[in-house]
This record gives sequence, C-alpha cells and structure tokens, in this order.
Amino acid sequence: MHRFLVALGAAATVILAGFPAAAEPATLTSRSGGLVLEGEILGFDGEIYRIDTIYGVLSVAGSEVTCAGEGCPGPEDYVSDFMISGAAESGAVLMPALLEAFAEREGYRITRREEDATHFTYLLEGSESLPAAEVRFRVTSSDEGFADLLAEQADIALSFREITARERGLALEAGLGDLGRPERSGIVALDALVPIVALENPLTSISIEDLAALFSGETSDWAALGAPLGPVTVHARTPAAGLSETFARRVLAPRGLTISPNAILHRSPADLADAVAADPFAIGITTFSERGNARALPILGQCGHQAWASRNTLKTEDYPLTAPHFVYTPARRQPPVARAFLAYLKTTDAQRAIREAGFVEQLLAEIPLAFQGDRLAKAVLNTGAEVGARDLRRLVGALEGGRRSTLTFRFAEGGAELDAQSRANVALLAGAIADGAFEGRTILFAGFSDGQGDPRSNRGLSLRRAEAVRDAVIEATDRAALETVSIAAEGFGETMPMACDEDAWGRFVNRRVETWLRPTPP
Amino acid sequence: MEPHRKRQAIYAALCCAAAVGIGHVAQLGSGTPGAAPNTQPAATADAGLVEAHSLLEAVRRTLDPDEQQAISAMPAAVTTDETADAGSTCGRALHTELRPGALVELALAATCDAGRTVTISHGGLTFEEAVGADGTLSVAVPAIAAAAEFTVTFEDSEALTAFVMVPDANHFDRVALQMERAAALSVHALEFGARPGTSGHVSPQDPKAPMRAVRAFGGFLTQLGTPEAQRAEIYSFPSRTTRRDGVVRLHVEAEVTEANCGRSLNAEALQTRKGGGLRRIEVVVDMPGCEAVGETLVLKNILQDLKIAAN
Repeated sequence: MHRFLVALGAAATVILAGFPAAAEPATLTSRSGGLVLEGEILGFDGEIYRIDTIYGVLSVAGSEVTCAGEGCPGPEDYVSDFMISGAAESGAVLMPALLEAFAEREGYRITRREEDATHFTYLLEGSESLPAAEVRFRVTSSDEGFADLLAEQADIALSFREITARERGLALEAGLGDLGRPERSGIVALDALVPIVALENPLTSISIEDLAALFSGETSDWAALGAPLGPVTVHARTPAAGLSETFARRVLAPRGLTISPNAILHRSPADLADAVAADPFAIGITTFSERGNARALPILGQCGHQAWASRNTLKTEDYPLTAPHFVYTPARRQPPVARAFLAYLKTTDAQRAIREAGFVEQLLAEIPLAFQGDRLAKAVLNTGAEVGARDLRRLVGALEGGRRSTLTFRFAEGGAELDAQSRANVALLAGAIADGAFEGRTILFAGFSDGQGDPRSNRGLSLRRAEAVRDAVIEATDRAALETVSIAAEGFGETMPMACDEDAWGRFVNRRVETWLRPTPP
Repeated sequence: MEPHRKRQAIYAALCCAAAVGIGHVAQLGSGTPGAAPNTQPAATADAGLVEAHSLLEAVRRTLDPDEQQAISAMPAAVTTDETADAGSTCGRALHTELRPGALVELALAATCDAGRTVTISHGGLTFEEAVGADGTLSVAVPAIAAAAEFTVTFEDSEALTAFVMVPDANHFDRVALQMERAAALSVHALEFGARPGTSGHVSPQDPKAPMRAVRAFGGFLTQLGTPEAQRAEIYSFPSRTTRRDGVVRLHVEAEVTEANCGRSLNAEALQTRKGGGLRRIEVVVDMPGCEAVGETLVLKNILQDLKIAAN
C-alpha cells in the first residue's frame, strides 16, 4: 500500500528541486515553427512549461509548442503544485476536509503528510487522465495568509475576515490583481463569532457591552455580571487571527477598547474551546463551528431579546456576529488541479462536505411563516403610536402563505452597501433562479428598517433598499431565467423588528431585506 | 427466545464458507496446498444446506427490507462444523459470532497452521495475527458496515471468507489507524472535554470494554494484529445511542524512538462518515531527529474529531 508514496514523493521532490533531476536540455518549438526555445525545463504542470533559457525563465503554453529532447517531461511527471495558507479557522479542519472530498470525487488516491504543527501536505495520486497534485498547507492566521500571498509563497489565501484596504493596495502593487473583486475572492462557508463558557458556568446570556468589558479587562470579576464571585479568565485568538480582528472591530473598537493584556491567546479555535471548557471561570470568543465542549451564549439585547447562533440565524444573519470564511486567489494562472478544486468549492457536493465537517454551507433553506411566531409577536408588540394596525395587516397580508428564504441582505455598518455575505447572496440567488429553483413562484424582496427616525421615512428607506436588492439580483440573473419567476419589492419600515433598536447591533440586524417566496397567482 | 437472540444464533450458524476455488464448501477442508479437493458425504452437506436455507428464511422474516436484501445477497453458506475436518487432519475452518459493540468474533481452527501468520481483512482493515500453538485463533473485529465480509488469508494464499449481518454496526462511529510493522503510532480519544489520563481518555493504555459503548457511556479501543506485524487500532463510539452532546477529540501519538527518529512513518486512516461511506487516506508522519528520542508527537488533525449530537 505504500509503494505509490515513494513514487509520488519522488516526483514531487523532482518538481521542487527543478525538473528534470538531471539537467538535460530540451527544445520547445512553436506549432508554426517560428519560435524555438532551448534550455532546461524547470517544471510542467500538464499545461504550462517553465523553461530556463538565455532570455531568462519563461512560461510557455504546452498547447502552443512541441517539446523535443531528453529533458522533456513524460505524462507521469505532471504535478500541480500549489500552496494554501492562512486562517486556522478554516485551514485546520474545513479546507482539508474539502480537499479530501474533492480528491475522492475525482478518483485520486490521497496521502496526507504531517510536517510540523502548522504545515502539512496532501499528495493526490492521479492517473494518465488525472494530473497529480501536491497541495501544501500552512495553517496559521488570516494575516499570515495574506502575507504569504503577497510574498508569492501561497496560491490560495484563507481568511476569517475581509481583506483590508492596505492589503488590497499591496496586492495591486505586487501585480496580484484587485483581490477585492468578486472573481478574486469567495466565501467558502458561513460562520460567526460566538462567546463560550464552560458547562459549569452559570451565565446564560451576555450583552455586547459586558463582552467588551470582560475582554478589555474593564471587568475582571464574575460578580459584576451577577454570577458568584471569582476572577474572570479571558481566552482569545492570537492578534494576527481574523477572529481577533473582527472581534476588535465589531465589539471593542466602537467602545474605544482594546483586548486585555491578560487575555490567554490561542493558536487555534479548537485549543481555545478546549481551554474554556475546562475552566468554569473562563470565557472565550470562538467560531460557531468550533465550540468544542464549551457552551455558547446568546447575545442579549437591551430590550431583552436574545440572539442565538444557529445554522439558520447564520444564514439569515439574524445573529449579529456572523463572519464567513473567505478564500482569495491572485490574478495569475493557477495550476489545473488548483483551478478544479476552486471550482469544486461552489458545487452541491462541496456544500454537503462542508456540512459534514460541522460548518455551515450556503445552501438555501426556507422557513414557513408559521415557524416565525416570535417574530410576529414582536411585530404585534411593536404596534403603537408609530406603527399602526394597518401597517401590520399589510405586512401579514404580504407574507401570509409565503416562506422566508434564508437569503437575507444586510448592509455594511452605516452605509447602503451590502456586506460580504449579502453580496455573495446576490450571486447565489441569481444562480438558483437560473437553475429553476423558483419557477412559477413570486420572489418578494421585503425591506425593513430600524426604528430610529420617522416611520414614514423608514418605510421609504426600506422600500428603496428592497428595490436596490431587487435590481442587483435582476442585473446578475440570466434574462431567460428571469421570465420563469415574478419579482416584487415592498418596504415595511420598522414593523417587524428582529432585535433591539437600543443596540447598534440590534439596528444592524433590523435593517435588512428579506426574501419571501410564494406561488405566483395564475 | 427473543428475536435479537435468535438472530445471533442464526448468524452464527450461517457464518462463513465460500472460499477459494469453485465455491463449494468442500474446498474448505483441504488444508495442504495441492491436496485433492476433499469430498464429503453428499447427504451431510445437503442436510446442512437445507438447514441453512430454512434458517435463512426465518431470519428474513424478522429483518427490515435493507437487511433482507443484504441477506439475499449472501451466498448459500453452511456451518463450518460440518466441512472443516471432514476427511482431513489439516482442515481449516472459520466461525463467526456476533459480540456486543457490533464486534464480530472470528474463531479460526487450523491445526496444521500452528504458529503461522494469517492476514485478516475486513472493510478496508488489514492486519496480521499468529495462529496459536493449538492451531486456533480467536479475534474480535469491529464491523465497519452492517453487511460485513471477513477474509482470512493463510501463508499459502488460501483464504476463507465469512459474510455476517451486523444489525447494530451503524450505531457506531469507527475510527481506525492501521500501520506497518513497528510504527509506534497510537490512537487516543478524549471524550467530551476529558483531560489526558482521566476516565474519558480512551487509549492503548486504557482501551475500555465494549460494554461501555453498548450502555452508551462512551467509546472503546480495539487493538488488532501482533506488535511485530501489520496492525490496526480502532476507536468505536456509539454515536447513534449516546445521550451526550459535544465533541470527541481524536489524536494520534507518535513516540520518537531510536528506530524511527529522523524517518517517516506510514499509516492509513479509515473513518466512517456521517453520511455513509468511508473516509480513507494514507498518512505519512515525518519524525523529528534522534535528539528527540523519548519525546512524543501529538498529531491532532490526522483523524477527524467526532461532533456528537444526542438523539
């Protein structure tokens, strides 16, 4: 069973050391015969030759030339060699599981090589029609992933945060293209930041303010939260992690706070969750997918609303601290197997593998109105001076008999621009319409606002947001596919709040465009 | 007799046979290579077959459709008792019997193979065992799937095969690591936040009993193969019956020894999937240099942790 390892290991070493082992010369001749290049072939991935010539190292498309000479690679020498580097949040469990699922589906034989605490490599043994691959992983943090991309060490960067303006500028300068463009970045799976405590800890929920006070060190005793007296131990990820950056940006910075110097820092969310689960005096901030044996706390709003992280509330972003897993790829040619793997990440098969690995995939789900009793109750309680029974009737009339799709659109803090997950939702919805998923149905974009300001202008604002989403989806959808569905947009203002308007995060959750589906009347 | 007990008895009776050659049970009796196929009185064999078929019918009536299909797919089998020793002193026979924890006990009788090595394979697992001085071998193997096939191959390449239905096999998650001779790798499970060395730590030092899993208290570890041979370690956890929520962390420990320092160890990881099917990957561990002899590497990501949701 190990014979192939030796063979593939040898092939991989050859590629790394420069192909071929003995520096035999080769001649590449263009199909027309007009161009002749002589030199040593440094590599061939099945598509592109890298040849060291008197003009320097050149890349030449294999389809344009013929290779002659001792140094020409045989079909057994094709190896796609690429490196995936970045966040432990997705690099430790999710991406290896996806690579294994991809390799299994393609029919590869899979070998995983453990090198050290942060490095491992997958060797995919192919066949004549299936090019071999060596996929190297470096699993550290989002910062390191981008640094490796900029240093041209990595071909795919994993991040648990969006790229910063600075990194985007550096990448442009380095000739990697605009990594902010949709074709250079993508969401692999959904996730969220979740506060956790040990099972023995008496806390049942926590407000963003208390979370900020604990993690900054302003509060250092559980008694301040009404729990029995005892010192709080705070567990966080290392500063270079996207998790830390997102937590600082969304929770600490708005209150002028930074992470406590006494926080215990971990190299992976799994280590963090294990440490918290073992200590009743600990609190940690981890991912939804890596809660380990600790207990997740819901976020408590000032009006008493509790936001729980769940598969559905991550998809709908009704949970405030959602944070997806991103991949970034530079604007350069990827080896064939890397391209195939990146394409695989968008397939239904990949979504199944994501779910099996314990992460939240991007498949659309539908929730009937009947399952949303608490939301309707909130809407009823919300009626009063500003929202009347007429508004409520209009809302229920529009949604009755409908099903809410988990696809929800939310806007980046303080702006009219969609956030990253919502931008991806536009493409998902356009794809689903093209696949006929909503044939014969009406898609209603229902806009909602927060409760700040005048109800009439909120209604107008929520309608304009719904129309903006509608237009974006129409723009992204194939013309012919659009004819199979009806599309409408309505604004309901502040009629159905999801969270407390007293909290900034509550207002973010309340400002949204929901997607409702119902049969189109004949 | 309650249905489950009855089934066990019948499976035991139906077990095995159908080995090399043209598929007649009589072939099982020929132990020595090149010996003429052993013929046995037709009446005995027929009686056995008739008995087996009527038992098979009885089993079918108690099974759900999936299980019925699996049973129908089984070749006509008779008990090894009737064939093994008939007319030969070097008979080879393989018995199977269900054990708690969805284990299948293989009982091998091969008088002329005393002290020799046999290779046992099942559902992707392969390990080597030595036949005892008395010519028998008994080993309990965790069934990877409900329709389980076991093959015992002798040094002369002759093989015995048994098919067994293990109805509770899918109650368990199985995680296996199999390795070449002397690879100092071991499988460890830390159940629901257990710390190393405490009662929730399942390891070769504290493998636990299968009854722990039957009672849904936790998992157990099965070690197969002799230390000097191709061997396997399998962790079983009762995911379908457990009443706990959380994560079972799985890791592999690699002890740095004089024999393996600075070298690579090869192994293969097998793991049942939630959605059915088997994860199967080869694993290479680069061992540190010989200055690290005596240290232990903890490899956390070769095996996938089990995320358990109570039913």
